[in-house]
Formats: sequence, structure tokens, C-alpha cells
Amino acid sequence: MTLRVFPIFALVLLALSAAPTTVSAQVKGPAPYASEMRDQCIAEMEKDARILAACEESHSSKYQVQDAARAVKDKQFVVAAYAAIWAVLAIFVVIMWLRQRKLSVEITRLQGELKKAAAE
Amino acid sequence: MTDTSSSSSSRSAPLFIGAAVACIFGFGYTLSLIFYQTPLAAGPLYFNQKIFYYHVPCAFMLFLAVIVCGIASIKYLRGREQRWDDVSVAAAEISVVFGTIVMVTGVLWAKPAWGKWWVWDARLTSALLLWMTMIAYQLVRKYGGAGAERLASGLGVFAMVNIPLVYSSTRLWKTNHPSANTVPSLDPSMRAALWFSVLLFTVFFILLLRLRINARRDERRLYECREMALDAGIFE
Repeated sequence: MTLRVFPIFALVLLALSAAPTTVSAQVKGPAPYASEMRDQCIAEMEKDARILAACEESHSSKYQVQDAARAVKDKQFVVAAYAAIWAVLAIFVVIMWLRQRKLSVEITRLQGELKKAAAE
Repeated sequence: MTDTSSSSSSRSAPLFIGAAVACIFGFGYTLSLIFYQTPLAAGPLYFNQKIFYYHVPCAFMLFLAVIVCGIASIKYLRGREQRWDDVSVAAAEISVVFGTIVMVTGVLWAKPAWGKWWVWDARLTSALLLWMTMIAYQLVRKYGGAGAERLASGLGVFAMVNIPLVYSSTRLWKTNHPSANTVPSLDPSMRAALWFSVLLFTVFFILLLRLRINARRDERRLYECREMALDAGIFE
């Protein structure tokens, strides 16, 4: 029984696995459907080959490469902007801290001299 | 004589640490938020849009600093109390720092977005005017001589009056700069990153303001000490 069923099962499996390949080999692009717009597009493309060429070109990797290059270039500007922000803030904080320290030292020195003068 | 035993440098030490921690935490977390968690903007801005998360909060801080400076200037002009002058000086200095950041990031955004470093449209020109007014405030304070603090306070008030004009310039005139209406239309994760950044910069601004006010008080204390030293004949 098993030996009889096996070839049928194998044939069904083979047919199922081959089916999508056969369909995709026959139809290029999306599956056909009825649409006035689609018919209009096909008619326009048949009239002028340049439309078809332009459509095909818009899918080319050239545009993906262009977009990637632009993203990389933009990234440089973004990174430069972020670096500038933190550099400006860090410089300001350091200047403030140095100024504060200098002031404290000067106040302490003057107070010491004043106390000494008062004692004398 | 003012007692300096509780010197403001020791009082401001925790503030310095707080500012440093906020800076480090903010830098790390917002970078992760901006570069890895927010989506890329659709349309021509694409990656360049990511400058927005710091540019806009820094512009808000510029406005906040100028408003604080303006209010403190009015208070000083009315009552001549030194503490308001201290606040005004501190806020004015911080406004120049944030103004510099806004200008630099704006220029770095404009080049890839518009193909030009600068255009003379209403938003950019009015923001430049605001920044230059605050620089003028610093110059007047430094080189203005006697009465410079009153003149500088006048400049602070003038700068504050300029803020509504800068903010609404994108609505009042036709400008290249994106309008303020962009924010509500953003993706929720982009909005969250923006408001987190605004919060962080606000905390940072408050810390900087407190530190600068303390430094300003120390400057006045030093001046008082010098006066006393002159009176005591320590200095010739």
C-alpha cells in the first residue's frame, strides 16, 4: 500500500514545487489584472519606447548608489554639526571653570593679605 | 566685607558635576536615540534631518536665555539691584553660546538641504540679528565704561522684543526655513527624541546659568576685596 501511494505523493509534491516556477517564468512583473489604467499604460508604452526605457531605468541600481552617496555625504554634515555643538559647550564649560578657579584663588589671596594687614 | 568661607566655587562644585554628568549622559543617550532609534525622514531631507534634534532645542535655549536676560534687565533698570544684573550678564553670555551653536548647525544643515551655506531669508536674518545683539551686549559690557550695565540692559530688552519676530518669521514672510508646524506632523519617535533633547538642554541651561551667576558674584566679591585692599593701603 505504502509503495503504491508513494509515487503519487511524490508526483503531487513535484507538481506543487514546480508550479510557481512555471508561473513566474511565464509572467514578468505583477500578475495580470483588468484595469483601465494598466491598459492605458501599456498602450502608451507601445506608442513610445522611451517611456518604457525611463520606467526600466528608474529601477536601476544607479539611483540606489546615488541615494547612498547622498546619505554618506549628509552624514558628514550631521556628524560635523554634532561635534561642533559639543565642542562649543565643552569649551564654554572649561572656560567657566578656569575663570571660577582663578577668581577663588585671587579672593583667597586678597583676604589673606587683608587679614595680615589688619593684624599689623 | 563679604564672607568668603562659603566660597561659591565650593557651592558650585556639585553643579559642575551635575552639568558634566548631564552632558555625558545626554551626549550618549541622545546620540543613540537620534542615530539608531528614530527613522530616517522621508523626502529630500533624508539623513540631513537628524541635525534638527539639536538645532531646534539649542534655538529654544537661545530664546530662553534671551528672555531671562531681558526680564532681568528690566528688573535691573527698575530697581538697580545687582543680583538682577548678575542674572542678566549670565543669561546673555549663555545666549551667545547657544546662538553660536544654532548658527553653526543651521549653516551645516543648509548646505546639503539647499545647496547653499546661507540665504538671506527672514528667519535666518532675524536670528542672526538676535545673535549679533547678544554679542553687542557682551562688547558693551566689556568696553562700555561707566554706565555700560544700563546700556547693555537696554540691549537685553531689545533682544527679548526681537524673539516673537524671529519665531513667527516663517509665518509672516515666505521663507526657505521649515516652519514651526513641522513638529506636530513628525513621527511619534521623532517627537519623543526632540522633546527629550529639549528637556536635557533645559536642565543643562539651568546648570550653566547657576554656575555663571555664582562666578559673577565672585567677580563682584573680588572687586570688593580689591577696594578694601586699596583702602587698607595694601595696594599702591
